[in-house]
Order: sequence, then structure tokens, then C-alpha cells
Amino acid sequence: MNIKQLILIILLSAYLPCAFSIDSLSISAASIKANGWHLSNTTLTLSELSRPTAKVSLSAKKLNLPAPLNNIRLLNIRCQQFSWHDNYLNCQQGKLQLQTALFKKQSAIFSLRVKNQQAQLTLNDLALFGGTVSLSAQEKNGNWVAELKATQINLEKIKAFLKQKKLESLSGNANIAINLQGNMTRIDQLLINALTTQLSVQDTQGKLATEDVNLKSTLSLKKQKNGWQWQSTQIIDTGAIYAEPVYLEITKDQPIHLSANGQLLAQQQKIKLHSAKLIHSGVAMIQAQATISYQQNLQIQTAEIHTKLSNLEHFSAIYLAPFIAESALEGFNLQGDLTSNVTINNNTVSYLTAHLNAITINDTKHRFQANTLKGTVFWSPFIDQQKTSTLEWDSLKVKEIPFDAGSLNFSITEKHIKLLDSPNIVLLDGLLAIEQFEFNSTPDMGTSVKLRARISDISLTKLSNAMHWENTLSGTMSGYIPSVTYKDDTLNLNGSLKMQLFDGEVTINKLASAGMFSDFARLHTDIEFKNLDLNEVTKQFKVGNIQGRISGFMQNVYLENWQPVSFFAWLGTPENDQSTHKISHKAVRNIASLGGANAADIISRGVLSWFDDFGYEKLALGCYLYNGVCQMMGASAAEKGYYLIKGRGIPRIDIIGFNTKVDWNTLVKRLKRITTPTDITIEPLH
Amino acid sequence: MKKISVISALFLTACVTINIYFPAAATEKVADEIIQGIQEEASPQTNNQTPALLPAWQVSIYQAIDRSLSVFISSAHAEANLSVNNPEIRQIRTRMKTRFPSLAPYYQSGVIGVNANGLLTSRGNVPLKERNKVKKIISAENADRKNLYHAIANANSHPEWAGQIEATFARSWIKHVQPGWWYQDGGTWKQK
Repeated sequence: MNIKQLILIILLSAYLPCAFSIDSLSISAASIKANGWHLSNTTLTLSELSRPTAKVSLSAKKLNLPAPLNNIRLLNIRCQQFSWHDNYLNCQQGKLQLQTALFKKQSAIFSLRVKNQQAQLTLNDLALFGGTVSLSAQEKNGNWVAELKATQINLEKIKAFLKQKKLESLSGNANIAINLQGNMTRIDQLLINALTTQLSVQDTQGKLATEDVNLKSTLSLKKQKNGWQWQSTQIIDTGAIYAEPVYLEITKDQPIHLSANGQLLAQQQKIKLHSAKLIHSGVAMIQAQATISYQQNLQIQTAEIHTKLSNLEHFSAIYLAPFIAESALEGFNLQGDLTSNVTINNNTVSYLTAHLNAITINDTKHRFQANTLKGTVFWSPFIDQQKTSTLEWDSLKVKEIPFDAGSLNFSITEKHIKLLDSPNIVLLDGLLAIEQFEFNSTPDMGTSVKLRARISDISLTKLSNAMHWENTLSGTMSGYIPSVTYKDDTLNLNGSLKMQLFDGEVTINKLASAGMFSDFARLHTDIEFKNLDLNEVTKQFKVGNIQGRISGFMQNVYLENWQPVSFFAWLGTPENDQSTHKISHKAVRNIASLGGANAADIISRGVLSWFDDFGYEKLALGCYLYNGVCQMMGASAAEKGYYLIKGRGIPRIDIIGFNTKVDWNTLVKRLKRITTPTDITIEPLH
Repeated sequence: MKKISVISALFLTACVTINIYFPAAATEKVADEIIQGIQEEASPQTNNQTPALLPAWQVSIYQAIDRSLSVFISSAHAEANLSVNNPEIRQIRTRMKTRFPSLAPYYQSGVIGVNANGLLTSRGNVPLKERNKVKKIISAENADRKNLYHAIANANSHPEWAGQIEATFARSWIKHVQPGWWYQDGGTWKQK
């Protein structure tokens, strides 16, 4: 049927009412075409023919659209108002059913106008995914613009439609506006605006989830000669996100804002990120430029990343804590601010610079603390690119031991840290002089530490106070640490730590520790005591005055969680000691109480109670601790026992221990009792 | 000559092969003690000796009887004692004990439960905020439980016992589920 035939029919129909009083007329045609718009199986109906202007309506089985919409099938077309002639087709107040490969039949209101090289199509009230969708498209000489608006789309229905197996659940509502421009089958421009509310997602692996997230997204793509130019923004202002292991609660006060723009170079299979900016308000800001290749695997060819962490307290709570949870570092948190620059080449970090500004490091488990940490750290895997890093602090605390202000200059490369100078750090009124420190970690050789240091004149009084010991020590500690080795999670101190203590010397040898900062610290050591002044010692421990000297050792000391598990210890009067040997009445009673109550009773009640002190030849106490039991020893063997004190002069007093095996915990309790200035209770040892 | 042969025969019968079998009863008792130790409030003594299952004098008598009997019985079946006192085991027990107060609220709220293998499992519905902590704590606890079984097996010079120790502990973990906690029984979750 062409336009001339149609006009003839219309003219004829004008006369027909006179002859036959016909009010309507239907004409069937195989197809009606206009500029690629093709109606097939059509029926034109002329109604109200008796009126001056008759109505023309159309029904068609199918409307085929020109490319790129040629995959959409529009069926059961009804046009309440229809007009048509050469290269002109106009359908208003239309209804149709839409069908694509993806969707079932959907009803919609539509209008279509095709005139010469121009066409306009609108589709409204299309019910999809629980919401409504409308489409408006215009075409002129092959150039076209399409606008799609989807409102109140139920994401749960999208999930069901996509049959997405990686998502366990998806819910929320979305309003989406898409603007497309193109020519024939080519898309030249795409603009998407979307507002998703109450977005809740859960992946099947439980690694990604959101709750009630409000997300505002825009994406624009513009076709260029060699690819696409793109720009995107994402704003999340409410909701919660879990991206393993990080959990974020986002509020309107601290929204997350991501904006990025760049080019997609399809031929080169590259993405050029001209600028990307992620702002978590009040917490962090990250800016980046990068070139990313997706030729085979995703590869960052070059990238410059600038990070500004303006609130390390929030940052460490949100982003750091989840990574260190249930690890040895759990409990550490930061305050202050930090900026950093990172350069990446071929998926490898080439340079990292971090500027630390007044950072405080705290540990809820009280293992380490740093105050006002400042400096710049340079890191590079390339040895020839090393730069000096500096760190300074106002104060440090390791466990309970405080360090004064100090600074370090060092270089750091991949798995290698080296101190560049020999800092002197003031510590407990003394000095820690680090002569050498190097840390290396290689896959072949494992982890190695080289440390050479000297400590001098550390105040034992300050150390006692810092460690909250019940008895405050006096004296100083000095020592030289020729080397420290670290292997199998165990730190070994080679060399000796010498302490000038109680006018004598205490030497710590073979110190080794494992898991120092864990819940199960272990420590091995040997300790030597040389010529300590008992007068000073007994003053300190309030055991009762003893005059003389004492020497001895603790060998194979093994502590777990700072509690002795095993050792072999002996402390006694040195051979050929020429000092005065006197022991007070109180001290005798106390020592006797370690070996049994009877002796103490005799001293208290008998003639001996008249004397304030007694002479002695030698005294000693030894213990071999194993399996919670102390095998006791004394100055020398006695009949059925051992001498704790072997007397001399008149009145002579010997204290002999008969219990050779003593429960360690009981012994410790009694030692604590006699070293505190409270009244003494004597109990027999079992 | 005949006398010598008889004596030789007696000596031959006195050669004893002792097969050490998995000490199921001892393991069960040890499992109970360890689990009770972990779930109680006070921390364990680092140098605690595992209490002997029998008084020392009884053990000595039984050992003497064993030795006497072995002269006449060519092959004996013996059940080994189970040693659970070495630094590695103490370290694992300390870690588990330290962790228990963090686990307890999740046991109680039903977020985690004890499965049929005596391991912890997330029962779903973990609030997003808690998810990382729950995952890591379950992972750490399960790793320690398995390490403990291997450490006990190794401490007794029978690494091959690890599986049997695990099975024994599994029953014991379920036995020590406290009121309100969830556990798996025959593939279904039950609340005690």
C-alpha cells in the first residue's frame, strides 16, 4: 500500500456514508514503512466517519525499530490517533507490548512520529523490576539521542533477573537516568545518574556486604578518536559497609566521596586515570594518577598516589585495627597526622615517602608507647635510591621502661633497615648508646638482626619504680651488648649485662627471649652475683640485718610469662670472705622460718632472745627448681639436712633446714612475707 | 642340659613386646581438664604439673605388677600416659585461655557454635561490625585447637595420635558447652 492508494480509499470513504451510512472502515495492510521504522500486519481503522473529521487509528502486530534499537520488539501496537503518508508516520496515544531477549512482554504507553529523516519515540509506564521505566528517543539522519528513566527499581528483582550467583542477597531501591547519544549502531556518549537508597548487599563468601547504604553515582562516557573519555563520582552519605576486613559506618557528617576521570584507550587496552580522589571526610584523603593496562592481567604501569591522613585516630580505628586484629599488633592505635607519597612502576612500589607529624602510638596492652613522633621516612626497594630517613620523639616507653627524647637517622629498603649514626638515648638517668643496628630479611637467609650497644649508669632505683617492683633497688646497671641475634622467633643477647648492685656486681649472661610482646613471653638466662654487700641487700628487702658478703649464681633460668619454671640457684658466703659476719635476731627468725617453725620458737623464747645479733661462719641458700618443686640446699651438709646458717662464736647459732623439697609457690609466699615490713608469721614448710 | 633348655625357654618367653595403644581414657580426662582450665576464670599456673590419674603409690604398685606379669606374658598391651606439660602446649593453652573471654559473648549470643568436630563455626547473622572479629577469632581458635592436638601427640612421641586426640577433644568440647551455647548434634544445631 502506498500513499496514493490510501488517499483514494479515504476519498471513497467520504462518499460512502451517504450511500450506506457507514460509520467506520477498516483496511488491512501487510506493512507500513518509514525510514527504517517498520509496522507489520497492520490494520487501519477510520472511525466516526459521519463527523467532519474522521478518526484514523492503527493496530499492528509488530513494530521493528531501526538500529541500534533493532533488538527490541514492539508488539500489539494500538494507535488511537494515526496518520501516515510518504516518509511520514505519526502514532499518538499508543499502546504496545515490548519484548526483548531479556524481558518478558511488558505493556507500555507509546507515541511515535517519523517525518522525513526525523523520528521520535516515547515509551512510558513500562513496569519493570517493581518500578516504572520510560524511554524517549529521537533520531535524525542516523544521529540519535535516547533517554531512559527508571524510578523505584527494586534491586531484589534485579538480582532475581540477573541470576547472579555471587550475591547472596541484594535489596534497595534505585532511580536511574541514562542519556545515550549515537549514530546508527554507534554509541557516542553515555551519561548515567543513579541514586540508590537502602542498598544492602551480601556476597556468598561473606567478604563484602553493605547495610542501608545511600549511594549517589554519576558516570559519563564520551567517545573519542582513540577510545573513551570518562568521568565518575560516587558519594555515600549513610549506611554501613563491610569489605573484609574493614567495617565502615558512614554518616552524613563523614561521607565518602570518590571522583575520578580519565581515558579508556580500547586499542591499547589501557586506562589512563588522569585524576582520582577519594575523600573520607575527617579521616583520609587519597589522590592518584595512574596508567593501568588490561592487556593480559591488570597491571599498574605507573601511578602516583598522595595520601593525607588528617586524623590517624579515626584512620587506625577504621582501617588499621581490622588488619591487626588477633595478631601480635592488636591493641596498637595511632594519633596525629601523616602524609605520604607513593610511586608505583609495573605493579611494584618504587618509592614511598611518609611525613609523620606529632604522632602518638599507644598500645592497649601497654607494650609500647611513643609520644610526638616526627620525621620523614623514605623507602625504596632500590639500594642506589636510598635516602636518609629521620625519626625523633619526645618520649618512648617499651613495656614499662621509659626513654627520654631522642632521634634516629636510618635507611630503609626492601627488608633492610640500617642505622646511619650512633645515637645516644637517655634512659633511666643512664645512657643507651647504639653503635650498630641492621635488620635484614631474605627468603634464603631468613631474618637477621645485628645490634651492638652499650648501656651505662642505668638507675636501678628508677628501673624498680618503672617496673613497679615491691622493693626498690639502688645502684646502677652498665653493660656491653656485642651482638644480638634473632632466629626462630627468639632473640639472643650475646655478651653480658653487668650491674653494679649492692656494692657488688650482678652479671646477666646468655639472655634469650621468645614472644616478648605476646601473651606467653619466655626467657632464658644465667645470672652471676659477685660480692654483694648483705648489709645493703637486707636493708633493701627488710629481711632483718645481716652483715657480710654474698656471691652465687642462677643458672639455666627459664621463665614463662615472667614466672620461674626452672633454674638452679645458689647464693652464699664467698670463700675466704674477710668481712664482718653478723646476723640480727630478726634475720635469724626470718631465715629459720624458711626451714621450720621450731628453731624460730627457740630463738624467740629461750636465752637466745636476749641477744640482738649473732656471729656466723657462713650462710647460704640454694634451690634447684623443677616441676614446681624446689630442691633445697644450704651452706654445707648437716646431719639429715643442710646448714642455712653455720654459726660462729658465742652464742653460736646454726640454722639447719630439714625439708629438702619445698613447693615453689609456698616458698615464694614465705619469701614475700619475710621481705615485707609486716609482722612475721612462721609456718612449717611441707 | 635339659635344665638349661627349660631355662632358655623361660628366657625366651620373657621377651616382651609391649604395644602402646592410644590412651583414650587418659586423653578424655586430659581434654576435660584442659577445656575446664580454658573456660574457667583464673589463669593456669605456668608450671602446673598434670595431676597424676592415680596416687603415686598406686602407680608404683601397678607398674611393679605389670613388670612381674610381663615375665610370663610374651606380649602385653599397654595404655600410655598422656603428657601435656611442655612449653608449646602451655603456650597454646595460655593463648586459648586469654582468648576465651572474647569468645564467651559470641557463644552466649549464638553467633558461634561448636560443630561436631569440636571446632567453632559462625552460625550466620553476624552483625557487619562484628564480622571481621568473629571470623578472625574463630580462625585463631580453631587453629590453636588443631595445634594443641598435634602438640599433645608430638609431646607423647605419637604424631599419629593427633586424629584420635582431636576426636576425643571434639566430644569433650561438646560436653563442656555451657547453658545457652549452641552445638551441633547429628547435623542440626541445638541450644543447651
